[in-house]
Amino acid sequence: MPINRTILVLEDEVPLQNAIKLKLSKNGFDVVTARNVEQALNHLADIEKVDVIWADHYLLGQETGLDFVSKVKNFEKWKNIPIFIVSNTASPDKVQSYMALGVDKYYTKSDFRLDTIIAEIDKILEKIK
Amino acid sequence: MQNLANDLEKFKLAVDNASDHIVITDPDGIVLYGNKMVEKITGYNLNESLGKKAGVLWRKPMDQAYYEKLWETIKKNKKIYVGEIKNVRKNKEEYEASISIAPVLDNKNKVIYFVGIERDITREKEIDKAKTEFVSLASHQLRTPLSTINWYAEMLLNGDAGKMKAEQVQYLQEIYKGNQRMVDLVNSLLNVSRLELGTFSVEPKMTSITKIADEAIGELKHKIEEKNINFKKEYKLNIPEMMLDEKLTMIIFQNLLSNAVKYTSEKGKVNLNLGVKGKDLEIIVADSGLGIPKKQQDKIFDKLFRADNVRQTDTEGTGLGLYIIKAILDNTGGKIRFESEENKGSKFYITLPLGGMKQKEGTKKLN
Repeated sequence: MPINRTILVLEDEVPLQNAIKLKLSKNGFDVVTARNVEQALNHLADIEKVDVIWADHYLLGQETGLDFVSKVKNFEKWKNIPIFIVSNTASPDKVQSYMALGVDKYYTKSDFRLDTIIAEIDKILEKIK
Repeated sequence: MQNLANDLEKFKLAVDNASDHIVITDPDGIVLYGNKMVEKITGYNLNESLGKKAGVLWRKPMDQAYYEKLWETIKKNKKIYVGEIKNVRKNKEEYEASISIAPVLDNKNKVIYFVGIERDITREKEIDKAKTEFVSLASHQLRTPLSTINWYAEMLLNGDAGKMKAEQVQYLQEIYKGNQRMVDLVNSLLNVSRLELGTFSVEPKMTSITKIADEAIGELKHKIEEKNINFKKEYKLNIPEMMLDEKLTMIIFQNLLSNAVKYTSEKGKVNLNLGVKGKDLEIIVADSGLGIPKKQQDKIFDKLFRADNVRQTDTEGTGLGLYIIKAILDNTGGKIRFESEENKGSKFYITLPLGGMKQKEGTKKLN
């Protein structure tokens, strides 16, 4: 199992955030968590290398996952970090907006198992290694 | 004679004061009469509408096909036309109306008048929309707790929190399965509300339909094996790639196949055939299951309808699957029909034009 991969998880629901964190840790990730966009951006600035981002759409505070992704994609240093959106909302316009911003995958939360999403993350990280 | 005059006066008063908008026209649709509600609803007084083509003042322009169908029904086929239409009052306010136009024939079966009745149904439409939006909102909200149950059950079943006793695993599996059912139900309700609100989009891409079919079969593999169902698929070799919306096509296969598996008893048969028929791609799903009772076959595509025989033997269905399929096909140029006999089985035929589905933008009102 590859080690020392850091993932930033942006999810406002604490029970869900915990589940994601536990499962990712078991799969060899260092996990940092945030519940709003500002926290997430601070983490990105503080941590030397974030390998991958997991983000929800609706978050604490005014800003959504879309605001977050567009900010990340505007930073030279961060724009190539793979982003996985895992959200309750799967309305076509939202999915399209995320895809247009260049996220790697979009999942409807309740339709996917954690291990399925993590396997996809592994696959993409494997590819860009 | 006095009686006749009284009768005529009575009818005139009744029509004048009726609660719906009533117009009488000549065979070319020129207004000869309008009652009080015409003015009240449209804002145009009788002098403005008399001698003009009915509706020309207040109708929102509809496409040519709409008028062709209307005139064919009332003038050529001499039948009553019933529909819904968008209108604009004199003060520019838009409203929706239900409309029915009946031809009045002489004793030689020639049209002498048309009687058009319209009713303002804007309020009903708004209430219906509010209801659908509520369902959509509630369904979205349900997804968070459903995900919580899903993911924690998944971790426990995986042994992430230590090994469990066989009995504990079994109970947890029931929780997990129950939750999956709830997820499916929420997804169906969301699909229904998107279809009813028109917020769903159709995004066709060049796709292999057999690949989508295989994916849907894959999802059902477990159930097929569990029930020992003799499942056969046959794809003709000449199936081209088509412009399809993958998600919508997937929903069609998921619902058709899961119905077939659900309503077929152990060791029964389910067949899936894909082939080209004329200008269409044809999907046939046949099963040796419960079948649909003859007297309920006309209701099978109604929302929430479940036939008596399946309600008595199965508690899982929602009555939404075929309704969703029909709504998708109605919006993408497809068709569905079936043959079915109780206790023998059902055979569903779906056709999709080989030219593919047409693009449709979803509106941005809902999350």
